[in-house]
Amino acid sequence: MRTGVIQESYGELISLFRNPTQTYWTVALVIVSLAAPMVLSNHVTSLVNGMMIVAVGVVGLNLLTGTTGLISFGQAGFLAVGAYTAAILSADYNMPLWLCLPAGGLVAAGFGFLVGIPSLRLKGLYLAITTLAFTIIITHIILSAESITHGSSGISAPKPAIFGITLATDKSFYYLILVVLTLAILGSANIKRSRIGRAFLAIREQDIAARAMGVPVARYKLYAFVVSSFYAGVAGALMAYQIRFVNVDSFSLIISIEAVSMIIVGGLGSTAGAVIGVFFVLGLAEILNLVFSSMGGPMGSMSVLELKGFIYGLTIVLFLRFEPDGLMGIYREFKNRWVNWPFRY
Amino acid sequence: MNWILKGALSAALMASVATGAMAENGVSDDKIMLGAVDPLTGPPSLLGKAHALALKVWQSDVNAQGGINGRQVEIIFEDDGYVPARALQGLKKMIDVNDIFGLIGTSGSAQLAAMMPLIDELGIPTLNNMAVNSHHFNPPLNSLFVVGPTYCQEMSAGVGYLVNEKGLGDGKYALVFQDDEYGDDVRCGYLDAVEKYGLNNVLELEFKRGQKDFSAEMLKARAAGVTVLISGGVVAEHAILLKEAKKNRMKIAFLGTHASHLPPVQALAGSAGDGYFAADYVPPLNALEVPGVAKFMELANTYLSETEMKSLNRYSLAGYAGALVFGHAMNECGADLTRTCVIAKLQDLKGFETGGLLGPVTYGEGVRHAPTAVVVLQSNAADKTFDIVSERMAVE
Repeated sequence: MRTGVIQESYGELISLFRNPTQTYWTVALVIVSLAAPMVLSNHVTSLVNGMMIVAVGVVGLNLLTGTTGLISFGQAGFLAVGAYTAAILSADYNMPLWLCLPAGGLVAAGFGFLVGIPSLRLKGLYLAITTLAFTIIITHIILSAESITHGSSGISAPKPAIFGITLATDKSFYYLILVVLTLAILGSANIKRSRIGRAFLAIREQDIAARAMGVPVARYKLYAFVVSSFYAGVAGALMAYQIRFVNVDSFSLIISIEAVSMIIVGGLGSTAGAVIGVFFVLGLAEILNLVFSSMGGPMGSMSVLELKGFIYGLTIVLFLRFEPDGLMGIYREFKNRWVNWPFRY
Repeated sequence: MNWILKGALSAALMASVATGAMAENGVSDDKIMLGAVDPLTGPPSLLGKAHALALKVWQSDVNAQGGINGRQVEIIFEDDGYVPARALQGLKKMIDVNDIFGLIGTSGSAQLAAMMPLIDELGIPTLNNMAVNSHHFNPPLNSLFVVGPTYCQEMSAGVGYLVNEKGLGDGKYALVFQDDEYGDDVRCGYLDAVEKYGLNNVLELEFKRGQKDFSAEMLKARAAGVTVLISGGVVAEHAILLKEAKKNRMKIAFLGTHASHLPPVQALAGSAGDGYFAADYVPPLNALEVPGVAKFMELANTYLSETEMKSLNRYSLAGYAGALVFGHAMNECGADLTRTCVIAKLQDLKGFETGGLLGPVTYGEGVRHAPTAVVVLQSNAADKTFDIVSERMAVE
């Protein structure tokens, strides 16, 4: 019986995978991910694309809220900044996708830096409200700066294409999103394993203690905001290319709240949990759609629609109440039981 | 024997290729699949449910009469929650899973804008009768047809009524409008009328979407001596403005877009909502003297439950009229129903009548917008009805 994973060298300590089992599962996941569009229908591929885009942003939020402990309800604002940057650059300045994607992230990161400054003095609810205000302010700026953002009319983005290859179909666009999501996950995992990641954790646990240990708290809080908003900006840019139309209606406050619920459902602080949380929360909505469609569709009974919203909300509330460690907590519990069975510990 | 087998196989292959080439998406021997994206949840469901119920009425009626050239109609509904991304997702689902032939519900303005590239790419015959914006037809897309005036055209015609019929040309005019595309469109119509009739525009006040307190705006309007207030609010804003006006004892003429022609506006405004004007392109549900309305209400009573009847509003009439237009085009195509044919038949429409639900509907080569004539309605707060107070006014 395996009792644990023991690293015996520095090479093992810094390796990406802790044991052969992890490697095999990762290889299997890569194969499944690459083959998925060949098997899935266009509709399902499109849904998965949407989920993966959200996952990019939520992985970033997890670094800020889950790892550093800074609550942010400003993700919708950063998403909007990224989406508008990509749409403006591609539609009005004919810039290529490979430039627009990072540009979306960088401009959002710039705003993240600005929003991060108040975080040096604010915590908890006060910080949450400040970041919430950012989304409202950014919406107002977008509507006011009509000469740049096209105001309330919105912007139509061109078909995505990279290095001359058009990614107009959901199946071709899938691979681009997959690459970006993979980079996002690897980036997040690496940050968490670095000095920066450890500083983030120290701040989350107790920022006064972290300062006493010599962690420059102000700098790392700003890092967290900048990195998180960069992720959200890239997600926004991808969203602009997927929908090919950007206007302020797409960036309501509820997006920020949903993003926080996703990392809680997945398991705060866990990168894998953030991704799983996205697929669970968005997948639940789709499954409910499917169930209610099979019962006669939206027009079968109008009251059914309200019931769907109720079930969706209730599921998430029950999750938060009874499994605060999220899906990753359930997974860890299951794994421990499996490994240790028939013993309790 | 071998050549007989080869010949039979070749014939079967050719037949299947020919059938495949002739088959039209969403059309089988006995069924036509149509799609509708509507906001069926959240606050905008006030619009979406009313619209979707009207399509349900039309579907039931058409099918009860034997369908369209023998084919039953089935409408698939997708709830977008008034979010552009979800509208696009819903359309993709209907194309991929349900294989729809056409689209007769297009949700809001931004939601349709998000769906437009896909509609154009696949050439899906689409009729928008819910939220009209110039971006939807300028430049025109071959398969996207729009019914109804823009808010700009509607408001310009409405102000024209106040000037020409109510003699309010000498009044002091003010506009309160929302800070978005909708508000901009209302402002466009207002400014158009101000210029056209040389009106005294004393105040223009922009408000942020979601604002619920208009006391400051109305105090400014009172200070400026405003006598005619044009409202660029969506639903609740009209009612709040009316209540503020009453509270401040302002005697003003109040005109809103068709969004003010909704039962919740009357309900929220209470007695303050008596006598306000609404510019619209469909008559009120209570105007049973209009043949189209009488027929719709009769069908609605037949096919909808009592609860569903309560959800009907002006978007039901707009939706039903749009379905009549689309159904007529499909009917004209006969048994050989194709997307190309429906698009051609819609394009050929000249003065199509919907029993008074809409003004005559006309499209043409490269013309995908039918800005049907506007009618002004007046609210009766006591019995929560609207009266038609103007003739149909053609829009420019």
